[in-house]
Amino acid sequence: MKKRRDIRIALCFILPAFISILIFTIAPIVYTVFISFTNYNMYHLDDYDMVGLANYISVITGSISEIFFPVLGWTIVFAVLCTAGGYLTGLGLAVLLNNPHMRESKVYKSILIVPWALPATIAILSWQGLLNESSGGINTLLRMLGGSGVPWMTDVFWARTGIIIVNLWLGFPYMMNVCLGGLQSIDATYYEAARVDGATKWQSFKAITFPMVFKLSVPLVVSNFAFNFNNFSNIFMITGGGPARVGSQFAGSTDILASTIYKMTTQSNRYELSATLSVISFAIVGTLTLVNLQLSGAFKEID
Amino acid sequence: MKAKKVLGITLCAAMVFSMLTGCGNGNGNVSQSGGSGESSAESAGGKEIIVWTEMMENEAALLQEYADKWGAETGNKATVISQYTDVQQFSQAANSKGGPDGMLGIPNDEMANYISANLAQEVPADLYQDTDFVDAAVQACYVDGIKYGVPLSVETPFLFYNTDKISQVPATWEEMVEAAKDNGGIVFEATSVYYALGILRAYDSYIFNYKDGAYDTTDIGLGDSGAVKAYEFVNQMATEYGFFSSDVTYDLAKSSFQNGESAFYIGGAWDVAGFTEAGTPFAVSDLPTLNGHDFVTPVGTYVGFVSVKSENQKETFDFYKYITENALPALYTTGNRIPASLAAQESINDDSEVTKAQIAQCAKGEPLPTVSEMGLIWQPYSDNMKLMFTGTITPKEAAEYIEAQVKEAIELMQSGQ
Repeated sequence: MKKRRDIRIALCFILPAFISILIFTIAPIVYTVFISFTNYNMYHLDDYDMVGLANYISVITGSISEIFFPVLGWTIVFAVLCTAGGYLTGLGLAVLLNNPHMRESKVYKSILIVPWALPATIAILSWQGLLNESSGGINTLLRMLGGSGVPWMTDVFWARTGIIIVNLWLGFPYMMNVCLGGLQSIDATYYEAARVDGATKWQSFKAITFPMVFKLSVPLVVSNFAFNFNNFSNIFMITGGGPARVGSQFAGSTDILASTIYKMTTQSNRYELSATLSVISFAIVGTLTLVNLQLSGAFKEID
Repeated sequence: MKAKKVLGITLCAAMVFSMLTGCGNGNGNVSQSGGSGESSAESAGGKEIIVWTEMMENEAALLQEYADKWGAETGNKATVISQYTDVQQFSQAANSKGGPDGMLGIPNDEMANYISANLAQEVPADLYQDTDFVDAAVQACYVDGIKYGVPLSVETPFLFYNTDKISQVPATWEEMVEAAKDNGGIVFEATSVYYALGILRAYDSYIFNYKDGAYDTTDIGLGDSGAVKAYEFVNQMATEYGFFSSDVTYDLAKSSFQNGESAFYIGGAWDVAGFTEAGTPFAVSDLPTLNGHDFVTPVGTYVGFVSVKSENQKETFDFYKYITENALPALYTTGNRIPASLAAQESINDDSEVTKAQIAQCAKGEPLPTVSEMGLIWQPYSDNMKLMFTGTITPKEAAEYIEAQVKEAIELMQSGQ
């Protein structure tokens, strides 16, 4: 009797969250899947019909199939570099800041948290200015120092490097915070024991710090990977997908899957293809995330 | 026990209710915000119309002033809301209560999408006489022989030159290139088909072939032999003379002229204020001839159209008519927009050089095609120009790629029909 009442009360508390998830998350997903089976586009805004799997077939056989794998390849490289790079930078800084002898570490922490605290859009716009080839801050500085400017916008390699740098800059503070939390939960006695056994600093980092922090942060790293996989805004706002790829208008050299889909379907107002590609892209990210979680052992029971 | 249960349920209900009404209010506010005059008294029997505009804030405010005047005369009420939008958003809004009855003040090439989506209502034949307006503006309002738009104002790019470097406007582009060579160059957003239209037209190329009052989107000129010559000419300016590089943007071109670095700049009325403020020594003119042809610039026409979903189409058209008859000179004063109506053009009676240059250039211009397919030109064009400027592809390859990619994009769009 009491239990049932508890459940009811619990339901009351959970209901607001549940309803908002239903409205703002589940419903749009269902709607997207639904649209992907219709012909809803500019020509059929009011009179759209169900068309079955036609959209999926036209996507698989259409012009995206030619560029799909190069784009997917770069998307994975981009997501891996951004996630791993951001994590390692964050972890490195966290270890340094966690040093109890560093009295002013709070000051550094506050400074290093700035990229996270800034509204991303504004930060990205500043980066867009900094990376400008002829008048940007970075190239101006390089030229003052006697070097030549870096072709951030016109060379494929440098454009990709630039995008990853910006993403690392935006992403490391979050990882740093995650790792700082993890570090603080490690019992100091482990290190004492290691010292007694004559372990070097590197050895104790390898055997104690990294495994313990990583175990805690796996779910966050994996979701960060999924986030970066679809991290559309930086690319869209900084390079616009450029420099252009010869022979392809929808996928520039820095375009990831999400921004290619955007370019392909919004210019032509093909909302149904957009939905179809989103569903496919979701399937890819979902699969990769499952694989990641499996590999990192996050599904294993923790003793 | 029971009391607690009741309390629990009541609380739940209250939470859900407050959440839902919260949403409701939120939406309500959004759809009404931006309306400047929330004037209270509604005249008896009056109709209420809402139109969206993509013009600047100050111009929207001006349109609202005229909307209020129109309202006072007719007993109706019109609200002008400044709102950048697209087909999908407009369509959803137009279906709902408090949605727009039409758009007043959007570029004609953008209107094309609304027409493809069956959102624009045909203009009543007696609303305005075509002969009362600039030719290019009228052409921009027709799609396949049907009139959808009410023209408001026209704009076109023209030539700026630095008076410290250049004393006299060259008669031809060829002379202009010579004069600019060791003198800072000619700058413009050369990767955009908007500025390149004249170069294409000078070599007898075109975007879509215009025949019998309609654009043939299967006949693309951007890959023909004339286009190759046009690309060679642009490429020469970029790579041989170094006037601009593949990262040229509107902002870079503008600031290069504003700083006094370049001798010539192709821009529009929207640039004048910046140059005057910065103290750039400049004068303006219509553009010189190229390859023996008049230099064609795209005439952008700001138009109004009425939504097919509107319940007050008659009143909305009536309001548009009122605007074209009364507000255009004021729109010129506020936003520097050249009126599309000939009567209003005469009435502004302005002898400013900028206005003269613009009117002279408008006479040589042609509208950007009012077809949805126009929206698919920009990306392939600029992508391939950038690749050409960096030397990755030749002008001939650029022509091939542009044509193939435009065809691909059109195919993608039209297969949704």
